[in-house]
Amino acid sequence: MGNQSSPKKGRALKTSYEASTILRNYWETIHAAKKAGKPIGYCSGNAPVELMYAFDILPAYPENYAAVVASAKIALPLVQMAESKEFSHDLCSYAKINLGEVFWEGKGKPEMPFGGLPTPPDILLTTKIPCITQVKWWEVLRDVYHCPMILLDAPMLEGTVDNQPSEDQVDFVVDQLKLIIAQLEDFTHTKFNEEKFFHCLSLSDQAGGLWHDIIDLRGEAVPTPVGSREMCGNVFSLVAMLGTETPVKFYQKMKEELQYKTWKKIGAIPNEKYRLLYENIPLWYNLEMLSDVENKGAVFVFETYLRYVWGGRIDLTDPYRGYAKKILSDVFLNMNLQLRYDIMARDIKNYHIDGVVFHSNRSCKRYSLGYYELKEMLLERLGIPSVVIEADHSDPSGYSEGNTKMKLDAFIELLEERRNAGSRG
Amino acid sequence: MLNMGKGFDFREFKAKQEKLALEWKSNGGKVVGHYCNYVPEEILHAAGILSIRLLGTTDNITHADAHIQSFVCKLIRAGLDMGLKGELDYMDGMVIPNTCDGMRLLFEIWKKNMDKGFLRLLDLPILIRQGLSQDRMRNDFGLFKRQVEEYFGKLILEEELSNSIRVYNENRTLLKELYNLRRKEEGIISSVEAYEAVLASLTWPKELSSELLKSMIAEANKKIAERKEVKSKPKVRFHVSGSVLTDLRILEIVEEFGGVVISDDLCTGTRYYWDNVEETGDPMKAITNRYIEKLPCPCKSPNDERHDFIFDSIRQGDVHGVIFVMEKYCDPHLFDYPLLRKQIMDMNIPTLGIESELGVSGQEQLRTRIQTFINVVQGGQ
Amino acid sequence: MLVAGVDAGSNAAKIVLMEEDQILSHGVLKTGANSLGAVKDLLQHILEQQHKKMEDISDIVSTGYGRNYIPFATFQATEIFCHAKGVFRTMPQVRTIIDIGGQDSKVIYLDNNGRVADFVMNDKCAAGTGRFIESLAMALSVPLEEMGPLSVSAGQEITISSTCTVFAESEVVSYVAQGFPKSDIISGVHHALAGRVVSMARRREIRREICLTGGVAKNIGVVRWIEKELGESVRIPEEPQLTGAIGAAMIALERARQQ
Repeated sequence: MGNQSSPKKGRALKTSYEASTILRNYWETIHAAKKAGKPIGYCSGNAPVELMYAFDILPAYPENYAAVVASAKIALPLVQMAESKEFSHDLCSYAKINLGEVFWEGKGKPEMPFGGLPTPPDILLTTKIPCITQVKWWEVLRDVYHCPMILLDAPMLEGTVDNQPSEDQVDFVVDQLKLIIAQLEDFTHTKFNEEKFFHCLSLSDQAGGLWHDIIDLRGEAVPTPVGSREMCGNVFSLVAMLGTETPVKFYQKMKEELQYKTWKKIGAIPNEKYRLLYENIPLWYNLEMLSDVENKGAVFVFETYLRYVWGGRIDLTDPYRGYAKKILSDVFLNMNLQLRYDIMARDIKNYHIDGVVFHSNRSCKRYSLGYYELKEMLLERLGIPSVVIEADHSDPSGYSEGNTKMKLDAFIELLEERRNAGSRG
Repeated sequence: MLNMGKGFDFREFKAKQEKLALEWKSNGGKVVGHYCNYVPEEILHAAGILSIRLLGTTDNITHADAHIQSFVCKLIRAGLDMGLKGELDYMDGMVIPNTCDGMRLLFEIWKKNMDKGFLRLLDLPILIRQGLSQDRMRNDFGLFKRQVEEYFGKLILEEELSNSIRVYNENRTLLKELYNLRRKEEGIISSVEAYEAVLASLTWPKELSSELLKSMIAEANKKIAERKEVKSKPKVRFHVSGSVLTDLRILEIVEEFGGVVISDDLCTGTRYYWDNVEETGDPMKAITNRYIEKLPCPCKSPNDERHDFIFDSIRQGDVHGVIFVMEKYCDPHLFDYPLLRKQIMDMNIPTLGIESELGVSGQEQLRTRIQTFINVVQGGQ
Repeated sequence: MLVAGVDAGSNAAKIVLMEEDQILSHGVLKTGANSLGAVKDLLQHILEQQHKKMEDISDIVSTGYGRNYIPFATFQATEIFCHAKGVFRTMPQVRTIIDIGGQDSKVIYLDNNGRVADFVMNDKCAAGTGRFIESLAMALSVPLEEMGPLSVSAGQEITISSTCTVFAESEVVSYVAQGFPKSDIISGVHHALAGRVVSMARRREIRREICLTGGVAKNIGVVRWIEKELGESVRIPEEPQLTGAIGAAMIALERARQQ
């Protein structure tokens, strides 16, 4: 999708070709469900979506859909429409893409991929875990659609890499999950199907486990068998179909292919020289940026966004507490700075990373603030260089191609100089 | 006591505030800075601490840009800049709340660069209307009190808390009295003076602030008593909506063109002083309840009561227009704005949106806009 | 061994011709990004002056925003590296380079061997670049080259608080309307720019010595404010605009020697 501008060689993994079918099927299913009168819930990222399935509510993801819109390169008119409705230019572009669609007026609306989000939603489910934007944005949707909005409150995780959320924090989330169940019983007039909930948790856990294996396989392998750009397309089923069978099957197959490729040492690029870590959400309108560095022998082998925003394991022996722990502790955006550093330091070692590319994302304060501190910590404590590029995850209007390319080129020159200096003495 | 009549100058205001804080310190007192209306100042006061709300600076940012991106609000950037430059070294601590994402990460950056004194994150829930979150807020406030006691080595007694509650309540009651007086007798107290008095309450020793308020109110009442039958010409009356308003030159321009601000829902306005603490019963419980039930901030969900407060103010029939002063990059307010504005327009009340970064640059442009807006409002009468 | 460095910047193209370690000649061409064809003519012109031919050149390295569009260059390097090389050639004591160009500004941190250890660049906003001064000079109707000298006589300090160029313009206009002397206002403009740039430079330790490059280095007003903000004096190359092209030529020389 949206890759017309640069000629693209084939995918590194055969399994990746199935991602687009999964995407299409998801959208057909949800539109069919809406037509058949089934309730649809708009869910934010990291919301307890397994509860929706337990009540036979199908989740749709405005945030994920905004990324789809951005990668189809039609974000701009929607963003501008939201701005014309007085939503500030400085608000998150995911929200503005969605609100541009919601408030669209007049002619010229771009053709929305997959027929747009099914409207209206019957219920809204959100959480502050990734950011406050998802609360404020959902409040606007609540006022537009006049439907119930359920919000899961959560504290940010503090501490260091071995820390788990405190018992108090887990209690707080467990109590809220039970409250949400009661709210959903009220809304659907049906009794909570706990068995189904646990089943969905088990599917989520399986998908999360497989996803972690995939990340480990491609991260630990030298050369890495697959780069970032392709993996950004493969994360969809984890984002939008967690709690179902689909990602489990898809990732099982992908894992097997990766096991073979790593065993055979088949690399994503012919001559892998520099291994990079990508930090933050990708530029959905310019995923080419992630593969352009490959011409210079650099490849992104790991992304915090792919590993610590979606998926995660759940301790099923104590499902409620296990789930609460996962919700609190598996999201990079919900970690304090020290914890983020500790995790990056560990992964840099495990995945043989040479340098880090920070995307300072105007649309995501929660992810981006603190980058200058992290940059300094990485260099001073680990000797790992990094570069900060300035952009936005889905609004292309402020993106400077020349500036970004120059920074990335210079960064690879810097890695090269460091390596030459190292080999000389 | 205030620098009245000769035009508002935030720099002078800040200098005065700093002088007062240093006096407080030279008398052996402690000073703690903070960032939010949800910080339970009564607890700090009971421990003998002067709590000062950080209001930023109009100076150039010279140090903060090395630590935080430019796409966060000026309040965050300016406070961090002041800290990094050593301008807050007289403070014995800093309390940063978990409200918006910018504030939460500010705490991290602050801790990395200035981990000294009583630096605390006040981790508060967002869902204040829900029992579970209210229980958590009680725990958080209890924890905060223990942290204050431990760090400053001072056990806070119940009667000290009760006393502080009374001091704060008195101050809030005076601010509310001033508000009512302004509203009823518009023009008797200038908008600039009134909001400067709130800024003083946010940053001065409370007892001093209350003295100032008493004298302002007495003076106003004297004016009213002496006033002849001649009524001043009808003014155009505004409600101001937003977060922090420290650049009071905006109000000067409003007054210059015959306007007056009679109500607001500002963080540096009614949201700071509207609600009192119950003076009976367990003081910690009463304090927590006050912060749970107070006029909410857009960082809380839902914050419909803030919106209702504005609508109620308009329904009193004396508001001719609403001026939104919006801090750039303030996501919570900026998300609320479009629909809130529309609801106000639906009540046949014109609105004006002004973007601010702890102040407005382009005075001439602002003059044009406010003057035009006042003409629009008058034409609509 | 004859080599050339081409710096295809956003406002001007600069060419430096080097014979071994010596600069033979240089040329500057005011050009937009769309007239890069003229760069070749300039190179030919410089060569003719030196009685040399294109074939005599062993290697040509290009840099700058247009570096990928110079068809006769054999290698492309970013201006960050070229600036580092260019400065280190004449001032090996320099550890921090502050480059303020028309379109962006950068801070380059060097290690003791003159290698780039790290670099930072301004974000999209123009407030920290030469463009800020250009547009405010226009708003004040003062020729760009007079901005520096005029500001030296400033009396009182004026704060330009807006980081947005457009808002800063209206701030400047209102100071003019209030009757503030132009010299004070210009000094305020320079201070605002210097503050932004130094603030960015503080992201890493600013090691001595410090060198200022780019067109703005010619503006004495900005230089003074930067020194004041840093609490350090800064060094300025004789031809600050040529630094990038010199660095490119030096890389070309290294390449030619390796072949």
